[in-house]
Amino acid sequence: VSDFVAIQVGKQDFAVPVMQVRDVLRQQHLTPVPLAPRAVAGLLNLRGRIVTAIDLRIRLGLPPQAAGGDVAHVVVENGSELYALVVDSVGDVLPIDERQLEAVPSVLDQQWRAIASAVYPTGAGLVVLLDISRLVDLAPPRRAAS
Amino acid sequence: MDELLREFIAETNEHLALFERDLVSLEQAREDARLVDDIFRNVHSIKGACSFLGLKRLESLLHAAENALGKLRDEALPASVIVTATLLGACDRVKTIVAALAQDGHEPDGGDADIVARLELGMRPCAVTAPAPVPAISERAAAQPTAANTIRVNLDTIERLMVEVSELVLARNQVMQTLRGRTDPEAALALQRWSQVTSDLQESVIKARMQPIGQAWAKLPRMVRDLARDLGKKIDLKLEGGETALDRQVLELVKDPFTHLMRNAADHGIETPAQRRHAGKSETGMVTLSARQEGSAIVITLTDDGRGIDPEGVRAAIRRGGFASDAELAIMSAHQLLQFVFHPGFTTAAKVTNVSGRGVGLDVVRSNAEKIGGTVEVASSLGRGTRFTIKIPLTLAIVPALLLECGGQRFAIPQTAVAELMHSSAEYPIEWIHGAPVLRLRGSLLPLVVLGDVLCLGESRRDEEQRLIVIIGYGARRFGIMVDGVDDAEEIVVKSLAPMLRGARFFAGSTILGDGSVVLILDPGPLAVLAGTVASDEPARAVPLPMLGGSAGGGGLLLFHAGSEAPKALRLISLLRIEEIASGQIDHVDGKPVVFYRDAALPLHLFGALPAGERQLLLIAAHDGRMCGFLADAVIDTVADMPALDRAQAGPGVLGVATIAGQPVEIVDAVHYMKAASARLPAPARSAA
Repeated sequence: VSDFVAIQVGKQDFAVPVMQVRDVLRQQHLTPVPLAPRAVAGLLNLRGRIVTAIDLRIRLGLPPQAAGGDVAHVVVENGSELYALVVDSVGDVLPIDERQLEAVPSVLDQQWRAIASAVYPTGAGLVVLLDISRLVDLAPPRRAAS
Repeated sequence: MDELLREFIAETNEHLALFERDLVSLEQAREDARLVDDIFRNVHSIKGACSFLGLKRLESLLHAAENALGKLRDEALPASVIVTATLLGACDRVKTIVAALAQDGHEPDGGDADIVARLELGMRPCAVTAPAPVPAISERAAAQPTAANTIRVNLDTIERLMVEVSELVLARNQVMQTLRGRTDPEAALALQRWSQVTSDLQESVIKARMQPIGQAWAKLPRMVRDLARDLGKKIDLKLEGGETALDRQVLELVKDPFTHLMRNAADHGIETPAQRRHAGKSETGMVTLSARQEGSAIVITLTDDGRGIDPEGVRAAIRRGGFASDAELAIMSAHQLLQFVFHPGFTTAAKVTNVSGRGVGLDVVRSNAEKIGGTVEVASSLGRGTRFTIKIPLTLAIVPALLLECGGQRFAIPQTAVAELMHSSAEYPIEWIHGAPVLRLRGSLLPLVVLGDVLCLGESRRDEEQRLIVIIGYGARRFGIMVDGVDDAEEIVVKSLAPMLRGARFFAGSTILGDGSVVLILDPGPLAVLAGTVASDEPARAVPLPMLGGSAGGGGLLLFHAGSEAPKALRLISLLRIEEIASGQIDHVDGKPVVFYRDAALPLHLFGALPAGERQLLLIAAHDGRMCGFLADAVIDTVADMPALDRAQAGPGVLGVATIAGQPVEIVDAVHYMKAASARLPAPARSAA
């Protein structure tokens, strides 16, 4: 059994390995990065380290949140880099029994399958486990028109 | 690997570098007893360490070398070229063994009987056959590490110290900013003291990372000696300012460039003794490498007194490599041509030697220098020599930066790249040529980059009269960045971007400011490419306008001869630039003359027949987005103020006639020709910028 942190984006529950989570922050001031991939929400300062924020809604191909909506940042570490996942809300720590994990259904949207590592059935519904390293593997920024 | 062995290898490599350098000096100053002493001691101490560590092969090899040196020292025989060559051979073998030792942790198999025999043989006086030319190495590098008062510290420790101290500086800035004007005097005093200590600490740690640049040069004397021998040339290497200290990290990055430049000078620069004699120079070529500190930068120059770079050779090579079109080539100045040597894949060498000429090298020199915010320039005089100037920052850890504002966002740009700040004004207006903004400044045309547009920040304020322009000097290239505002200068610590953002070509990284906010650091290199400065507006290309500037911009005139005996004049305000072009660039469209200028057909007006000769003087006038060229025979002068105009003689294309210095001068109505031309020419393609 290993621990995951539950997060919500839209109506869906997701989970990320607690071992990779470094912090959970409330709404932060973000510095936008011009010409960056669309999912990059900006940069933020976490105790002197620069964290790249990724909007999970855009990463998942969901419509952006209504303006003024509440968001949370889940700071995760991948390699030596820190990333903040911009999510709608953060839930509890979820102990997950690996034996009960299900493979990602092939009918799932391509964009979701690319970053999901498994699906975990719970009494309240299905939780999609996210693979951080694949989640942050974004296409290089688009080029400015020259 | 054993810590002891690791330390031995590091130490031995240092000793070997000295050994090598001294041997080359010895070869020069045949009978310098002190030098022999130094070399002897060096070899002896390596040998001592070898026997302590039980490195038998090294020990016996060094023993033989020591014996040979012992005989030298006792002046049993003079240091002939053969002797030093033999000793250098021994040195090479020791290096090979030490390299294997570093890799495998033990001495490689095999014996050194060959070297030992030669060492013994070489020490016996014998007839010396014609010695190969030998380079003289003057000035024994000043950077002699003193044994006392130093300790060996792991590099990681220093690096960690540096990172921590950088964070401390940032935290200090943050505290100062938060508490500004809010603390009682006592606390303020303590704060100030703390701040001072932090700055001192920062300086000390930076110093601890500093190394004399001479360390990066240690291998050069040997290299030049071997090169001279291989190429049959005589080369004197002079090293100056080897004690100049700079950041270890920077030093690592410029090591290779030195090697490239030195090979280049030896292979392409210095001529053979016969050629030099023929050219009336001394047979021995001189290569000088010097370093000095200039503010927060280190300036390194490599000068040779060789054949120089032939602009025609460069021109041919550019054509061969397809780096520029014939039309572009035709209007390039010698200075501009020269800068192509830094182009990837560029080579003038007709044949590839094992020394250089493979078309790699100088582009690496430039990219290495630019990677760390440095610049490289080349100047050359045919037959007299070439000078490369590398300018690099003292340290990369903490960079002074200027904060810019654009589209409601702040950006940082390294101060080293900023040449000056200015406002556009009525006197220095921003002008648009087919959508590309330019600024006329001190007689040359400065391409501009609209930062807001480049970064897609929306809402550009291009119609506003007063725009802030940050003029960037990037090597020989100059261009302006149009921004909304300029903030403070601040010292920043460069942090790299996340991998997904590393492709963001306009950013060199990000940083955290004193107020805790994150800003992106602009990379001047890609912006320079965008400004198209590589193939355009360097001052050297534009014919300088005498006296342009000051009050001359508004009512001034440019006097020139064209077609007729009487001089003509063009109002400076409509004059964009003066350029020399090749006659071949002039063509006809629908029977009207045009000149091919920057990928577009520029309407041209001739005041008479096309002047004879290969080169033509082109005056380019612009007004309200329209352009027109005029051919002139010669530029006479400028006058600061518009004299009284006799409009009675005005006509199509003539504003009137003025009397200047007692002579009637026809004032050309440039706008008339532009209007006439734009009616018959389709709009040229939008230029690249």
